[in-house]
Amino acid sequence: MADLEVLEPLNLPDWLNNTVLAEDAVENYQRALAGPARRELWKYTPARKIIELRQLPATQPVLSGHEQTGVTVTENPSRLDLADLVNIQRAPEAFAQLCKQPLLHIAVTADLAQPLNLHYQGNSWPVIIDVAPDVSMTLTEECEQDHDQQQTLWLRLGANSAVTHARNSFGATALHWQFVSVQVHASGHYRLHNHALASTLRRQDTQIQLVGSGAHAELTSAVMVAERLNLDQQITIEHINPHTTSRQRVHNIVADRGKSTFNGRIHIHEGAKNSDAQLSNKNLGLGANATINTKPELEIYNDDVSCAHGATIGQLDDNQLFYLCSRGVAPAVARRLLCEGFLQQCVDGPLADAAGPALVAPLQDMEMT
Amino acid sequence: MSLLAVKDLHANVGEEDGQEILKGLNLQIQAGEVHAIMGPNGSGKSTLANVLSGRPGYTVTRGTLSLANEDLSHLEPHERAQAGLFLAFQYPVEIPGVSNMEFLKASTDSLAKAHNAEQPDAAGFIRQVRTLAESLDLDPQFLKRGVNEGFSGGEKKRNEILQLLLLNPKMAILDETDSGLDIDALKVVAEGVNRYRSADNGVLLITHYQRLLDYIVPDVVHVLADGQIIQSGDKNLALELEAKGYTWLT
Repeated sequence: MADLEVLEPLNLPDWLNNTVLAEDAVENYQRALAGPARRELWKYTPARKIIELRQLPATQPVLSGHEQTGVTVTENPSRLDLADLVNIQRAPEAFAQLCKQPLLHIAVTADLAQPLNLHYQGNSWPVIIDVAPDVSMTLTEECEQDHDQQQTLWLRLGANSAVTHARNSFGATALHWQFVSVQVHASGHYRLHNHALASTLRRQDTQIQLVGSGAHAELTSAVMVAERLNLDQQITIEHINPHTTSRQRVHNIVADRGKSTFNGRIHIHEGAKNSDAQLSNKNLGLGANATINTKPELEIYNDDVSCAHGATIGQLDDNQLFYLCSRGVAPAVARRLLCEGFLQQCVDGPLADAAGPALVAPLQDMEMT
Repeated sequence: MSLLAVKDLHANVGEEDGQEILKGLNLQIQAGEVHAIMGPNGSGKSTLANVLSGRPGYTVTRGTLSLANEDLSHLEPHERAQAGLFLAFQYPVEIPGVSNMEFLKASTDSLAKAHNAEQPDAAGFIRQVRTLAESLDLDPQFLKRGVNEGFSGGEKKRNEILQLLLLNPKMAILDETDSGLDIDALKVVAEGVNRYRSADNGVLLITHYQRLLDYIVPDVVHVLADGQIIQSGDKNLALELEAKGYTWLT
């Protein structure tokens, strides 16, 4: 596990000084680096490759929709209270990123009629978005560039707020790490639509905390892993308070010699009574040499909950294939249609129109016999 | 020349050494005719439909099958469809994520391409499909949903008839299309089949019950037993079977 130790010592930035977070930050950080949770998170992906991405020069993402009333953007704020938002133990690499680079803070204090869009040109500054109580907004992230890069994003949803978050990531030859941490307060509603192509290595960390009673999170994800490419998805949803609900549907297609890893963890904390969590991960393998790792996990410290999780790995359904062929559709076209349909079940939200064609583009070059 | 000609057809489930289900079946259907095949459970009715449409999992060991003089036996399922054969399924599958409209367009385009015909323009095609759906009491909203996804049994069967009318094949095989239908749905389905009937095409109805034949009147009724046609007659044969069962014939 030598490559887990490449993280640099922490230099606490100005905004962190004199905050609750700073008190134990160094100690927590050191403990996290050596902890078993971290080893599990990097079990299937060479951590060094991803961690080293953080050394690349970073730029501010291109913003649009930020000129609407109710949006305040601050570069390098002198003071930020992130004590309840940042979990060093769960994500030491992302925390180190926060400490190391300039960052962008975006406060949203009124309903947004237009989406707030982050368009990444490459390696990005960390972004923190604070959504005020009762505010409703759409956030979109787009990344098409093929440079090696990483992005870290923190979202804090105030009570009774609603955020629809869509993310399209279609560069296919880069090393790419995407980290998003979301905290949802009472009766807040968070919805993530993730659409991506796998790449040389695409690592997606998603950590959602339902901290307020009645908080709700939904995640749909569709990823196409073309030949010889790699995907690693690590998703954790924590139900911390009562009456919290979550829904996850994740569909991945893995072509011959492609590799996908899905680790979906649902953690119901003690006291999170009447939590309701559902997770479904379905994988379609094309070709005999596709590698698919999937691990849906439930960690429950409460009796009074409703949880369901499941994962499947399969191939195209012969009956569906015959049905299409019996209507004159050639087998190669029928297979493509079935693959498109499989992904389409998890394509939704404000970036869906662009996602559909991009996700199936690799199928056009693939031998579908 | 027969539209559909099946001669001495022997077929097994599985490979060559599998169980023989069809044991020398002969059937000739002329253009403009509707034939019904009835028979007890396990007689080979659905196997006949599957073998004619080229479903994987069956092996023809002897005999010939042709459509409009074209030998079907070496054609893949999609090539048989392109040759003009259509199977309305007993249990139409659900295909989530592929919308009905997308599926129908792919099918229509494939058939047009196979015949070097022009593919229909998108707007005209959508209008045509919506009109057909309405004529079959299918909510046009169903066209946006996944193929047969969440459809009731009756809706699935009406969706099969919609495809029959849209694709307008030379020969339609309806495999127990009446199963699971209430009387109103049965009438709608039968009306659709009657609309499809013409002097140029043929219909093979596979059914357990005479009731369907009250609405789609056959020219010829056959009784299939143990993989062979053992009796043929006019529509009155079906009434006789309804009254007496099959035991007097076998």
